[in-house]
Amino acid sequence: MSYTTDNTVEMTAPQTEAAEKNTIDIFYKRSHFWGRFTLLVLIIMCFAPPLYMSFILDAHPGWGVIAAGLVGYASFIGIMWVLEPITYYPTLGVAGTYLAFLTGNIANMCLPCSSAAQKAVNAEPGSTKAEVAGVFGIAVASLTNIAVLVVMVIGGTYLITLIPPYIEGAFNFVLPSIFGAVLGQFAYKTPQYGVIALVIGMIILFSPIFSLIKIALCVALTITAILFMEKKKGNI
Amino acid sequence: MRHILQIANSAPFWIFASIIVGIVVFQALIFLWIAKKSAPDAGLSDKEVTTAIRAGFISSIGPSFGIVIVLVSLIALIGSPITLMRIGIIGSAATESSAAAIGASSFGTELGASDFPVEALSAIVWTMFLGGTGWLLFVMLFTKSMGKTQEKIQKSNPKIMANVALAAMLGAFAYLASEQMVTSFNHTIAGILALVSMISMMMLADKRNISWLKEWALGFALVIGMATGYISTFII
Repeated sequence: MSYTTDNTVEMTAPQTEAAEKNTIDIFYKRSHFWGRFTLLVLIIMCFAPPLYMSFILDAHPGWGVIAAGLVGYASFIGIMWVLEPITYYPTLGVAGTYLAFLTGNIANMCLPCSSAAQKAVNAEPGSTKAEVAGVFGIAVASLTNIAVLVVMVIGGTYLITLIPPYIEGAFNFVLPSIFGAVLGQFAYKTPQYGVIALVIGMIILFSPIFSLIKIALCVALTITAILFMEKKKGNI
Repeated sequence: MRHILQIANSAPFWIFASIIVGIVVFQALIFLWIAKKSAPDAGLSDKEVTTAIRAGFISSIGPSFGIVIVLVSLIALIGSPITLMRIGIIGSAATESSAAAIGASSFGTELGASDFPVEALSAIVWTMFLGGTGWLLFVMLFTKSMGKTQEKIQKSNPKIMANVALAAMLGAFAYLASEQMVTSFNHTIAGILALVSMISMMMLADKRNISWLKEWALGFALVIGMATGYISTFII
């Protein structure tokens, strides 16, 4: 008898551990499946408007023009296709990346809302708790954004004329305010790292580098600097 | 130009826009469900889930209206549905305006030109929609490998991932904030006020244990930054 009880006790410990790991694994599995599926549907859908214009409206601009446009665009912005997802991945996580790149407006909406949700529940950056909290933040932001957009676009120019001029004037400053606030949100616990990041940011901003890679470079250098300092302190 | 807008605002484009809105809404709801299912395993209580959702909602209102106001300028040029699909969702103002400009120039014209044939609109639509799939494809194909890399780092040393996530956020927003704040002295004021007010609110919330303040902090910081930035235009 005692043999069997001992055995079950020994068996349950690794089993619960495995079960715990599995539920988070399910989170990732579902995220990959639904993330990829929705992106695939959207990619297919992205072909509809141009094909419709060329072959149903009979307004085909010519393959040469299309190729010139795409090559021009890719040579100018193509590097961002790769750099942006990698740059924002550490903050967004798996699910957040699928959400943010489908719904767009990453720096000016998704990241701030993700971080606000993470901070509101006191989640450590990079933890699973932060990742799941961030998903709530981005998904809700995405829905709010769509609701606001649909109402404003259907209401058309009429609703937009209702916005008083001083509000419109104030919205000229929405971007510095969002970016400054999010920087503050992350810098307040480690102010010296915030200052380091700002110094790196300013140096890169005024350096004669190809402008589109500047943000990725700033992220890479800040990661290097902070990891180096943490290592020196013996924290990692 | 009127002829162009008639086509761009015609029923088929509204149908495309509705389908794309539908995909985004569907994805947001699916991920809310995925996150809700995994919340307990990620260490989020039911109360914290509500908190995260509320924080995401409050924080998204300012950015959403910011997006709408930018979007108005493009509605006059490429019509409501295309603007809604490209800037409201999927892309962002910066990338889509350059896509539109590049598409138009590859056809040998420019946005808003008096002589603007339907084929030029078609060239813009091709550049915007196919150019934008670059991000979508990369995220669809490579988020899984980024997740695996993260898992490896996490296994070898979980503290590294926490520091990388913090540093990536600081680096990105230090750069974005610097870039905005050098635009004008008023932008600097808006950015600094938003940053300082955010730090003060987070410190106050931590010290007095006011959890609702963390949900509202980003919204308040936005209003403070935007208001002071706008008011300062009357002085400087």
